[in-house]
Amino acid sequence: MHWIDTLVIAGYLALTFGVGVYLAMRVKTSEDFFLAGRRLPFWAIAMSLVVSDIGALEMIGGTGGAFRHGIAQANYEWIGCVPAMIVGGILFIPLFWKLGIQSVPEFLGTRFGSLVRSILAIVWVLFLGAAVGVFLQAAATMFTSILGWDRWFTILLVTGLVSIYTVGGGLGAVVFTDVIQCAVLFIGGILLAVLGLIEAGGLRAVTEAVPAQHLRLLLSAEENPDFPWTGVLFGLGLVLSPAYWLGNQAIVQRTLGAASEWDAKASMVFGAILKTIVPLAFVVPGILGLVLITGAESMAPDEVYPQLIRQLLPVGLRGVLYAAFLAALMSSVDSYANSAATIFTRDIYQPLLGGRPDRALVVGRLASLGTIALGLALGPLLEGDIYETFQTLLSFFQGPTLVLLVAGVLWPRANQTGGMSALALGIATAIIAHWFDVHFLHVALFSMIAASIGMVGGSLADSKSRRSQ
Amino acid sequence: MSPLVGTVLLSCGYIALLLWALRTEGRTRSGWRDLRWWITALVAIQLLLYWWF
Repeated sequence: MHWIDTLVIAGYLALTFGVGVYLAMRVKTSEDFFLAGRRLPFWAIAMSLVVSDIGALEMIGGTGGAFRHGIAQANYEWIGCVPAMIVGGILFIPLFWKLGIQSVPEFLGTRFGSLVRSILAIVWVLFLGAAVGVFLQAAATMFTSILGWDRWFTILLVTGLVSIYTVGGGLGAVVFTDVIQCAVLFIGGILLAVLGLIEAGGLRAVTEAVPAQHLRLLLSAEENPDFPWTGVLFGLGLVLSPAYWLGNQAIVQRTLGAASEWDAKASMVFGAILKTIVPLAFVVPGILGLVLITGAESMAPDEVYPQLIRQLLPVGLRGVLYAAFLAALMSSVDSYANSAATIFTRDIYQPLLGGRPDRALVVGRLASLGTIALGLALGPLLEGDIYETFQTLLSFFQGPTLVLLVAGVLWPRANQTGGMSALALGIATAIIAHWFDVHFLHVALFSMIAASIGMVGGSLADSKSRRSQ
Repeated sequence: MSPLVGTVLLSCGYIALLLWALRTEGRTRSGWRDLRWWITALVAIQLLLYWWF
């Protein structure tokens, strides 16, 4: 790597570290740590939401997906984000913000009892810790291949920096370092797309050169079995996306730290606007790869993004893109560590282990560090099939969790029996559908339908249960 | 089923979402802070994209 690129990366890391440490010095209470003192502006939350959702692997994988499937890859950013973020911004997030809760299991616990709260809290803490490990390992493999960095040097550099500002500064440090990371990510990605379009001879030349199917968003299962439009619309749009944007602690927690109810709402809507632009940075370069790379047909999709960087960008600008990779990795690790710490402190340490509220700040900091340590320890064990199994297990909870959230907010008669029935029926259906090799987007839909039946049936059957507050 | 059915269903969904959001949000802020404008622009862009591609 050229020394100018190294200098750009070092500058980015120094800026992130400086901002993180400055914000860490302002944390005095547990509310400062978990909710940034409820002072966050909408634009910072929105940028943090978007960048936390884009990991280093998504940058490579998303571009590779667009190279293989075309613009249909953008469905993950559009149908997979925009509708759910509008609904979240208007209905769910303002309610959570007004209730003053700090975690999603905490809300579900108030509606469906402590058992539901505990089950979901434990599942989420384990998943978030394991995900940190997988992010680190997979990104280290990528950096080794692209930058030639030593695997453990990358892992220890990232965890060292992230630990200091996340453990010290909590949500505020996570969000404002994410703002820098989001800017770097967008500048790098859009720069690559614009330079690529110029190199390819403009938009018209590109649309004439790529297969027509690469320029269609909705495709039938016969045209592309990986993107059946029924799965995209109903599985991704109706189940997986709302479950992620409304039920993922890493997402919801930022909005709960908003300075006002309006900021909480606007953060989701502004985030959806940013999400509309994201495919310009990661999908367009993938399609351009077909036009610009010689011998593209035989190239592995994950090689496309690094190859475009080498081919299109001059020294210095390459450093910006490499910094963007680091930004994507760091924003995911800091967000997940902070969220796992919040769930552990609020939903496990205090209610299950009888912890004292005045120790919440110390426990939260230790839990952030513990999550990163758990990720470091589990990472080498979780590559390949084991992580896929773990992700599949989590996906079994997506449909039922969404039903719990929607019923919890919109249906006053929903009660504890309904909640447990929804979890049991939804998870059982997901397991059976997965067993029969149903496409994962359809599994999510079937699981949600079953959970809805469980919720309605269980709630109505248990007529003696008192109405939840 | 044809993807055109999907585009039509998606459009109906977005229009219903827009009408619901405009009604629920109401006039809580004025000028650029009125979120109804943001949501209308977002839905319009999405519809344009899905009919264009």
